[in-house]
Amino acid sequence: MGVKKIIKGCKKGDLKAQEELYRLFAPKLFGVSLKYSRNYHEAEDNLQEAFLVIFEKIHQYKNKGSFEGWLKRITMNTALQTYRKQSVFRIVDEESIKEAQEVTLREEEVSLDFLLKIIQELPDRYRMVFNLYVLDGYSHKEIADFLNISEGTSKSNLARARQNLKRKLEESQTLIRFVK
Amino acid sequence: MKENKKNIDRLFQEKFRDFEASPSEKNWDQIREKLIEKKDSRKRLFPIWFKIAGIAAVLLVLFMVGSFWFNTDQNPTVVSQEEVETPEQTQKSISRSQSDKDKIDQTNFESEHITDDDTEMTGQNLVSSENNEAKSESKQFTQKEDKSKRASDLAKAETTTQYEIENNNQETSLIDFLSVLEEEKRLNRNVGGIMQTEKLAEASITENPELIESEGKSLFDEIEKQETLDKDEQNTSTLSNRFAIRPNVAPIYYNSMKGGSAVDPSFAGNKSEGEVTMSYGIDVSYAVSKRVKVRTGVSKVNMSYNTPDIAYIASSGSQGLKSVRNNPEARNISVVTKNAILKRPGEVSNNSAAPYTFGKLNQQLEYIEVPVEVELAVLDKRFGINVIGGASTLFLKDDLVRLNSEMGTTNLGRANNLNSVSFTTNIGVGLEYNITETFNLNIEPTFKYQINGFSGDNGGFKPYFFGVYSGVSMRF
Repeated sequence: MGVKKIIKGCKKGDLKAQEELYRLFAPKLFGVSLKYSRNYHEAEDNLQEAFLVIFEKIHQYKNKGSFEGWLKRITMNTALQTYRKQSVFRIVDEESIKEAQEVTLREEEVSLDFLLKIIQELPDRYRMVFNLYVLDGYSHKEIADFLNISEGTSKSNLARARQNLKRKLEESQTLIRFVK
Repeated sequence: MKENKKNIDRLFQEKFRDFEASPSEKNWDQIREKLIEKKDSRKRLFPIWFKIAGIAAVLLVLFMVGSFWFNTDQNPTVVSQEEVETPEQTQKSISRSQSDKDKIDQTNFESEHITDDDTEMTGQNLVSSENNEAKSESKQFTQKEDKSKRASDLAKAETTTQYEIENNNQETSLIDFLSVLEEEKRLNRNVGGIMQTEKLAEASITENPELIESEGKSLFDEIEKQETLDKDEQNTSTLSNRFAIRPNVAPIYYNSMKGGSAVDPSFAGNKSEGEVTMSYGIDVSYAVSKRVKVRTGVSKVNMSYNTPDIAYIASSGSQGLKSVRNNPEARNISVVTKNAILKRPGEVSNNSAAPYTFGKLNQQLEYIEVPVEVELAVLDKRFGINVIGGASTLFLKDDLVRLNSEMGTTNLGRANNLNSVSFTTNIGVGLEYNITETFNLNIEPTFKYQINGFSGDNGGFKPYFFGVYSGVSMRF
């Protein structure tokens, strides 16, 4: 079944087509889900939620623009909504933070699993901002609008996220050095 | 061991390019379950309506059989008939209200199901908008400062308009908004990109000038507002379509279950021949729910039937027919059954009835009918099937008894045993075809059993009529 045929089937609410769509796109969308969620379990919940939204709104997709992009945006948006809902208002120190752009690595290879783990461990908003800005290429202005924060907050959140990641990366390196 | 400095962003970007992962197998099963659950809650309505329609039909049949049973009394008075019917009717209304309750439960369940999702969604928005309010309070100062800076800064005027364009899009939906952002990003990469977005922004501002004012409000307030607006729209649109008006016309076949004639009990052994007449009317229906409609209306019904095999003769000393005895037109005419004549030896030969004339006794009735009926949708698509049950009140408008023979027609006047108000129990099946949202064609074969059309002894005359009502209904 071609993607177009699958989409047509999904629009009719055909369960077989829905399964095909899931099989086809679940790995990519689960990737998105994992980045934006706190852990594997929440990522699965988010993926389920996203697919239900996708099946419900698929008739709104008019074959304009990338279908995969549309699916990814829904998945991302589902996660954003979840953590917008959950995040408790926290006072963020808005004063400029020392930019930590670079990290010193002793090892050539850092595992993807580890990187994912430290992203997921970030406080919700740091994680959102970091993902949106660094991994998905949105501007601070766009992020500010998504998350209803100021651009300044977005920038400082990003800096804090980087700092947090850098610290964890370096800690892991030290650990490795100690082991060796 | 070499140390290498790495840009954090680049490190993550490289690793997460084309990042994919497989969710566990049970994940799809859970989605599947939820999808089926959603579908089921929609489908579950159908069989229950089948049941309710079935119960309604059975009750109506029982009601009719019941009234048959009690009507076998040869001299039923109007009062006793009504008394007999009351327990039946209450029973009917009780079980109807029970089935109504079932229906309500069902719809409640449905709406609970639906609102569950809805509240979850709005709940999300509520919570988030609360957060946002809190946030925006603390940010107000910085934002205002930001904006005034931007506004004063001519070089940054573009950015402000861009900001507005985004706000506009937030209103429609976040997803659309995201796609617009991507679009914008692409545009911005072009040299002329900024010019284009500016134009876009201008266009949207002139289209929605009020949006500029709403700039300060949070995204979720806006979404929420939009949602409530949408909901209001939906509500009013469904409410405004609850009424339908339908002019209808039907050929009516009127006859008696047991033969005979209502004019005189002496014709009880005769057959009765129904005639096809017409009914014209208009009714108004109100949709209580998606599948239940109640309706009422008014129509003019003409009925006619013949009692064949009678013979009549002009005679001054005759008793005349029971129900037209006192009419001056009928006083001097003696009407008997054909058999009675043929049995009298000497008076007539087998071939000729002279001095009697053979013919048919004809009775015509004209009623104003006011039905009150319930329509249950069994199939509710472009082509629909309904089960209809109810009762009508008939107000007698006119009637006439006459004799038809080869010699011509003789009017005998009005009958004196017709009740001015009588009732029918109605059961029918409606087939409809929706031409548009507003108009539908429908045809309803309906059987109506008349309960107390005649007072006194009418020789076991049990009238019913069958009509095929057709019409075009218009929803408004």
